[in-house]
Amino acid sequence: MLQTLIDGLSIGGVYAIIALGLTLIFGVLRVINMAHGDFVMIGMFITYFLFNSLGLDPFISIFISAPVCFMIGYCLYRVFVEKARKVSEENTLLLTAGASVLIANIMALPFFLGPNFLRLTGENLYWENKIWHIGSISLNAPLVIGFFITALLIFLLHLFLIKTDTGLAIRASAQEPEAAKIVGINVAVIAGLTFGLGAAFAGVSGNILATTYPIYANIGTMFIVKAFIIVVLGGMGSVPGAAIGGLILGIAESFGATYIPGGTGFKDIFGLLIFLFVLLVRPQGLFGRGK
Amino acid sequence: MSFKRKFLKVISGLTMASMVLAACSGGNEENSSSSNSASPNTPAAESDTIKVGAVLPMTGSSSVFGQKFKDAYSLALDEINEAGGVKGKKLEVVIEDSQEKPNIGKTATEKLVSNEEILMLTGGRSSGVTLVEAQVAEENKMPYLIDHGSSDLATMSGYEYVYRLNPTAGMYTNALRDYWEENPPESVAHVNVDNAYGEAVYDYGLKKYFEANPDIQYDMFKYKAGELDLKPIMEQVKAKDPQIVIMTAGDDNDATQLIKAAKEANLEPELFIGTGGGHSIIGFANQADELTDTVLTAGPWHGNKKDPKWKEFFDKFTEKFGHEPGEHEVEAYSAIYVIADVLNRAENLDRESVNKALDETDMDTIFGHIKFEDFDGYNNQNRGMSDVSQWMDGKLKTVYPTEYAESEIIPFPGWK
Repeated sequence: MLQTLIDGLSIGGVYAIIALGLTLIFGVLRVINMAHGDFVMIGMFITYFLFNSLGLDPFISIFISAPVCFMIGYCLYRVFVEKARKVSEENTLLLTAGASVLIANIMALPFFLGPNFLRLTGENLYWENKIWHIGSISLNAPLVIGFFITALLIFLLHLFLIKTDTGLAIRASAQEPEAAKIVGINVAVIAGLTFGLGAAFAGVSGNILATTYPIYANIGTMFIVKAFIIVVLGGMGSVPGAAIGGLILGIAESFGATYIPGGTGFKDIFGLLIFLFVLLVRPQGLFGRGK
Repeated sequence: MSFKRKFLKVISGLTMASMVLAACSGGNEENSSSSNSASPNTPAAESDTIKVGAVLPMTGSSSVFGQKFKDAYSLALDEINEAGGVKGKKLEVVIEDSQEKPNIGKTATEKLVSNEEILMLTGGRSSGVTLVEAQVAEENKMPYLIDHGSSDLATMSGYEYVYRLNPTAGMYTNALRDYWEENPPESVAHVNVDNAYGEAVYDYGLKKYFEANPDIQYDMFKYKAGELDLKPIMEQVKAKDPQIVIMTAGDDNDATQLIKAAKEANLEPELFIGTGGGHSIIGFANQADELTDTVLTAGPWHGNKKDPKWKEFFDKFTEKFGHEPGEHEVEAYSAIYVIADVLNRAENLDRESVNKALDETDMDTIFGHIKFEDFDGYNNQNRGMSDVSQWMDGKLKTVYPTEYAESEIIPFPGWK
């Protein structure tokens, strides 16, 4: 029982960080980023590439994949999403969906990931199959580290949004874009920053996941659905909501898969059932502001 | 209109055009000679090459398999063509990509069938695609030699144009079940993949044994192919405390996720036994490293290792492609030799004659003796051999049946 809980929390932490990026983008910009899962994949690719060429530890290469994903996200926003936003919110959905297909197919080119499944493996990979044992409980070491990284990032994000000028500007642009412009905030740059930040979070989760999961160009689709469920569950735009939602999804999947016969085959259903339940009972999500 | 807008318009126009073009020509392997120069009405007899079609996963998660078949085919083709070819003509294999998806495999097969120069088909690889390829081949009276696809249904449906040289998924565990007759297990947990392949492994193979031996505890746990988090299922398995854990995986990615999850859950049976597929290819050892040591696999045999021709093939392949050939490469190589023999014996170079010659096949290959028979509900099925092999240090060694064994079975020592 405890083992199942720990397993759920371990993966829940990673889900949370993916959802965090998405909720930031949606909460502040009202943009539905269908390409979010692909940023996870890009993070995984960067981890793979840096490890194989430089022997860089996946957790160290966070310092590279985060900025890279940030820049790709920022550019994607400023060049394309910004223009689609001006017309309508639905357009951003279509645009990012198209971007998702484009990114996944570019990454499937032999120059990047190629058509095969790749795996982070090698003599000097400290985290390969690393299991820590506490009593009778086994912990997936890299995922546990990821859990703490998530906690740290949430804390830093909170500080950033509350205490810094840029954070204040982001919150202001989210609340009242017109008023923010009047007081001199460059709303376009701020919006790009937010999108980039969300993408960076997704990239970081890629680093963590690359230690345990195979890496392939289409893996993004697996995460985008889960991220959306968490964002709705936790409340769109709510940082604590994304965090708690991620953990809840992770735990639900873990328990469902372990205790219900044949559960592993239907794992995705547990998340979706929770999703339906929350929408029926509390549509704004756990921490969302009711309209 | 501003320059920027014009520029964006041109770029998006070009992008759209190239995407449309890519979609139209998509699915073609660079090596496939689409007969754009020859008119589709030219019968194969008037051409100086004889063409055989193959549907293989050249992209996607199973592309490693497609490449194995392509490599092995090419080795056999080179040898045959250097020795004069078939009826003085060059033998060629036209490959279409299935992406390992049955619906795409169907289109790929139809494309090959519609090419009148192609006299027969081979390939298929996965159970799902093979079944579809067989159906399309039968409907279009196109002879089809299955060289690896294992779903038993393909040779249990009374097809007249479909033949199989390899053992079926049900037959994969023949050698294992023979071994169990002498050394019965006490309790077995089977982590099975939830698709046509997994179903066939159980329904046509293992089921017989466990129904005949109800005292042996047997529990099956299903997982979806491609599932990444398999730890919960291993926890369920651990709760049953089985003596033997059987795992079924269609590709090496699933096989790797399974053994990693077993380690994470600290599942320690006496033996781990895979049932061919992902557990019997080098990709498994490459991805899971030392976790594969002592893992057994029960599947098609890897060819007659006592045959000097087998050793010749083994050495030649290893030298040319930089890795040792496994069961898939041996099957592919043998399939091409069977095809060459069939085409040589065919009265005319048309599909009906080829089918008749295929039916009458009776020859030796490095995969064993090939003869298509009707037995136990199968038709046009070769009695393919199976064996049990064990992984150690990235190499697979046969451990049963004893007359082909290279070493003894080493028990699983536990996770360190």
